Amino acid sequence: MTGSDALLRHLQKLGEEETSLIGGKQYTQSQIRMAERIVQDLRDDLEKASIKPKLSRRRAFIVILEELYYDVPEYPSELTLGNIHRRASLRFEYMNRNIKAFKTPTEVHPKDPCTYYEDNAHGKARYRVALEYLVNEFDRYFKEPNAEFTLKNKSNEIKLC
Amino acid sequence: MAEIIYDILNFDKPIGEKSFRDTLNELEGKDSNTLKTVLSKEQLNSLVVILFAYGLHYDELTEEKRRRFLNTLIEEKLPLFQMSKTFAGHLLNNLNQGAEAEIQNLLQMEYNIQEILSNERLLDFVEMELLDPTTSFRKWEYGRYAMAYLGQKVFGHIKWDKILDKKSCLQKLGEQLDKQNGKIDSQEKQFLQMMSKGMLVPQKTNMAEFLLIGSYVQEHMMKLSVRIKELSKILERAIQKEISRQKGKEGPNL
Repeated sequence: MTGSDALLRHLQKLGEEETSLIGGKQYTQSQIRMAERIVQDLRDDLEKASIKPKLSRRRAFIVILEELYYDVPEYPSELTLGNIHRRASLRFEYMNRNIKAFKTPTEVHPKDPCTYYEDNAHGKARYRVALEYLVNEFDRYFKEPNAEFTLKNKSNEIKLC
Repeated sequence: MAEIIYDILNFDKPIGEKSFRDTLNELEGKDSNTLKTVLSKEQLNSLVVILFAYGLHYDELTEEKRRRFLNTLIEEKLPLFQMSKTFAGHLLNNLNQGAEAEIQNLLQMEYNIQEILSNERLLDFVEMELLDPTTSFRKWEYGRYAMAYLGQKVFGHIKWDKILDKKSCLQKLGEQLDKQNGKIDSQEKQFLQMMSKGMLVPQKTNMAEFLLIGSYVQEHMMKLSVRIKELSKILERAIQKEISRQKGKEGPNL
């Protein structure tokens, strides 16, 4: 087991190698990934318990829907948000609350977003925000690599229409 | 694919000072309908800040305790949570254009200020625009903020400037902490060591360290609230011992 003294020494060494961030105005995703990998490696040694990632409910639903149905043109008619909620809450931690704002999978993550949001500019803007973040953070939340391509397509599509 | 670049949060702008308790007092004074109330920008921000702090920390508690936790946040019974609240204030100062537009929309709406978790669209905003970033790419920034905040409010009274050899202090600190009476677990020890490094050589603190502090504080804020006074005393004693040790090594002062 790595003691915290060893951890501190390790991080100290890293601190000497890494160019200082302080004072900068921006940072990159690669820097974040690097830091996260280091912390993850160290934490795996220190504590085995893995914690569910936190993610907003809406985005958690989108992750599950896209992973399960990225390769079909329509959601199955019997699919309910209750099913999705159950799966999503196993994978992600999000604030417990009722799901009355959304009633169907299509309302959360429409298969044809341009048509679905045709007369709803506000809804479209919020949906775009939800997708954009998931595209950028794909590796953090998704387990199904095949869903990346379709998710990106949808995100690009909704930006243009 | 092009590298994704994030802007560092700008902490220069002042944050709103109105607490949600103030908002509630104002509305009660006006006899407003607490189930459907339009809020001013400042009032809305005060509500957002509570929802953010709740969203960031609720899962440290079992479900039956969460309601009470929300109330303690509103009544400001746990001072340490002020840190997450002020962080939310800074996030609100750094919104992008789309999020700013959504705030404008949200200002047009009516809110249930009795059951604040029932305001779905506002929760959506808090989750998607504030919490998701803070638990992912901005978590290290939260950690950096936590270090600065705690360094000032909790560990600021410790005589850091009396440490002559910072490097040797950091190497010995683990031992000194183990010698203190007062039990700390391995995570707390690591937290105190990391905080000390931030106090002694702030320019050498790197992203991974900020991230580790950020994760620890996000996940253990409640436990920290209970323990922080004790931890502060333990660290103070350890640093005091270290100051004496270093003086002794130098030989008697003439």
